[in-house]
Amino acid sequence: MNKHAQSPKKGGPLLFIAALALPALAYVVHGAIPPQVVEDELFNGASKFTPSKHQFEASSIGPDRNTPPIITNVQVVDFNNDQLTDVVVCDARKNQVLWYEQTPDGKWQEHLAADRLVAPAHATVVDLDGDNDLDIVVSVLGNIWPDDTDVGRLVWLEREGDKFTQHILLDDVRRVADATAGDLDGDGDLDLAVAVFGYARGKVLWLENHGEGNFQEHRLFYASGTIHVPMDDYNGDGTLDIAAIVSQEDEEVWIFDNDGSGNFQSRMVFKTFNYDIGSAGIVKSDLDQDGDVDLLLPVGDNLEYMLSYPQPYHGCLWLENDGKGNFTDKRIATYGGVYAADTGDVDGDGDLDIALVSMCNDWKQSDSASIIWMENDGQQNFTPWQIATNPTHLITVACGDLNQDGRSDIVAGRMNISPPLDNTRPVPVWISTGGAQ
Amino acid sequence: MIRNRRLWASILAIEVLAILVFFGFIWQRPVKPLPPPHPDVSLLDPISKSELETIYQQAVGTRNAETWRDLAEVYTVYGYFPEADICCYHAAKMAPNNFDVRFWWGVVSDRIGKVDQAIEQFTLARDLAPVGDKGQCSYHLGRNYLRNEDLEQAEKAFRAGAESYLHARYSLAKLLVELNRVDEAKPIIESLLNEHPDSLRVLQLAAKVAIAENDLAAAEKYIDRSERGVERIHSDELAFSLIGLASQYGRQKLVVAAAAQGSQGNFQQARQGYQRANESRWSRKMAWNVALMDMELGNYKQGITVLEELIARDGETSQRLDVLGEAYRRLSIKNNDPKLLEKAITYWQAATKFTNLRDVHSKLANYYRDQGDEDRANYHQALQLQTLGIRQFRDSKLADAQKAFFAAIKIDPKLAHSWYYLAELALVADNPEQAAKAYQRCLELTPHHGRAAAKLSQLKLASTASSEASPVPAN
Repeated sequence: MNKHAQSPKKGGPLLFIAALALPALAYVVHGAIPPQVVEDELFNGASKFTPSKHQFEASSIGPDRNTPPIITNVQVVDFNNDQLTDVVVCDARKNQVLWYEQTPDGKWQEHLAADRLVAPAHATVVDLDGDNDLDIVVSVLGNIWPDDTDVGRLVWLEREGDKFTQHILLDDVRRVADATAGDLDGDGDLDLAVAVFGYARGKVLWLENHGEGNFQEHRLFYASGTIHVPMDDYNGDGTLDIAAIVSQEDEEVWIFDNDGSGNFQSRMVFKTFNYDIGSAGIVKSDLDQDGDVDLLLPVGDNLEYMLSYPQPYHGCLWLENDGKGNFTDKRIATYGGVYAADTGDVDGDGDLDIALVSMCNDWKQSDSASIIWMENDGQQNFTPWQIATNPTHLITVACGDLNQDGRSDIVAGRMNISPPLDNTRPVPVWISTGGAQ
Repeated sequence: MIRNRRLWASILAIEVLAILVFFGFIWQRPVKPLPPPHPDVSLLDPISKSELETIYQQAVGTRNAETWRDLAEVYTVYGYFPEADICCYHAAKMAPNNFDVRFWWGVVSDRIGKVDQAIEQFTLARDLAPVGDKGQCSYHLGRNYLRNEDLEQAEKAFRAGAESYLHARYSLAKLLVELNRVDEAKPIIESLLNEHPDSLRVLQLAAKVAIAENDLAAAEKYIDRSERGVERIHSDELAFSLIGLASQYGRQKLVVAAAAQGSQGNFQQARQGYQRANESRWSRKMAWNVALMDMELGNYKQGITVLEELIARDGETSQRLDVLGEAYRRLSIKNNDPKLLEKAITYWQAATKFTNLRDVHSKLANYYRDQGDEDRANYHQALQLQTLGIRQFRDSKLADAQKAFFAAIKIDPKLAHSWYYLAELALVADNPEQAAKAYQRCLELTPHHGRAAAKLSQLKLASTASSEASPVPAN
């Protein structure tokens, strides 16, 4: 009994210590427990792709600028007929049209073709007067920013040796975005199709060539936001037709079928009710090389609000021609903020690949793709490959073989009007060098 | 007492129980929210950055839905859409029945491309909205259904908002036209035209209806009217309102305040505001504003420096050359230096090569008149009047435009554009005969004037048709 009576007293000090230590221990442990939180996961709409295994060598044409560049158009063409590919550039910051002559050692020499053309949007390289040299027809916006007044112009830069003489072919007109040349009325000279983008008002015109730089306008269509008017025989009847991408109030592609004498019938071949798809242009190309002319529709113009964000339906559509001018649309790329496309055999395997550039990707993320190429497997199944993440804000692209190695290289232009701002590489170039990484 | 084992065992047992309860509570306690997301603001100009930080700090540590929504608004304005999305998500948790929160979450979802989420939030917002805001919610809802190409739901949404919200009514009419349901669209367009006879978008829609009905003459009339129409309905109301909202924050707010100072004649304060904004981030608009304030303040030398830098960085335009020339002219008077006036003339001559001219021809006319060169003065005076007339025509100031064109051709009867627009004015005044004469005159001067040729041919066709339709008087 005594043992039993004494045993509680024996363990007492230990329990006393434990009773003191336990709350202290609990206090320490409590302090070490991290607060219970749920991490917010930020939405990520940026477009990023697998880095290209096919190699490209990055460089640039022209000097860096003192202000973020606004290059609106690049064209790859042998401009001086010396068997070396040159590059024609519209610079809407300097209000100039420049051409960069490629020298035999692969360097670029800058030439001024024209200045004092406010916001030149597109340079159409063509021998307009048939004197065996290449002239330039410049589509002049007159204002890079939204403007519905008559600030546009169509200007012909007539080449005379090393000099260019400016002739105004069309004025008293809203912002002009594009012009293409071809004999639309079968009289042997070159007429013009013109996209008057305007802003809230615009139109599609064809200009009948009356000789000696005189052109008479004919209205084909009344709608704002026509970006490009590529000319070709879309319906296979042997005459030149006009395609037009209308993008402002509606998102539509129209074909103007020509009877060969300059009489046109219009028909809509593509429409989406998704007003926000952001058609950014139209490119003609026989993508599947079946002998008819297809159309590529880059979509991703989101500039109605300067701080734009890539949308899930941005990318590139292929309007496949059945040979009779009937088109079926197929999505071939989903890529945020796409602003331009061009085709070329980038990997030299005989089929046509596609280069796509983005103006409105999520540039707050430094690994967002600014340029990709879509590898064609020969059956028009396309795989996207990321070429570069910078420079950002690419608005125009052209493919062409700059180094005469049989593969298409890529030239782009930057319109750096929103952050991140930088003055470098106005006209970036990617030479396709091939080989795996 | 220390040795009292039973006592301490009991105390220990109570402690263990208490600790278990305490940790159990911790385990089960409500989730502690994170502070609002904090984006990388390094891309912002210093003024905007500083303001955004202040607003962010106000939201840290609060669980007030409105505060989080306000932060979402600022993030949206600066393009931090994913961060705005998170703020709205939390704000909606805090106040699920708050209209402002649901509406703004809809806006953010719309901009970020989460179309289904935008539909969900605008639907909730519409249910919660005061009567006056329901139409706007329906409009945005319809627009997002269009993005999903769900035309049936889009139509329903536009119909729901049509009565109270102009943009919804217009969108409904437009959708019906595009769906070839012209008969249903027509009464809506007619009501829109009654209320807004000069709305360019409604006029354009009316032209589409006329084309669909193969009434090309009516379509042309609507197109002509739309050429002088006013933009009362924005094609993207959301983008438009966001641009307006941006002026309430950061650098833009400073610019608005500076503009207000300028409009009250406080040019010094206005210049300071513009200058601060320009130092925060150089932009062509700010540099231009600073230069204009320099002109107002008589700081011509400083203005020239700002304009020349602007041109070096952002190229020439007619307005820049015009004002640069004016700065040199005024400096030449101030310094009594005629060489500076020559510079002004050079700039003004260069400005005439551009489109979008304002007063440069008038300045050149004055200069040549002062020099006693009446021919050149008249040449520029006529062009100035023609430029003015075209601007007034576009602004629907038709009587003023007519006066300007008549004055222009009085000085220089060979101005083809003036004749063309006089013809257009005659057409508006329902005077086809006079219009035909003016088009004819325009074509004599510029035989390849396509628009004049087309209009003249239409007039001739109409005249033939009407004479054929007229009963022939019996002899």
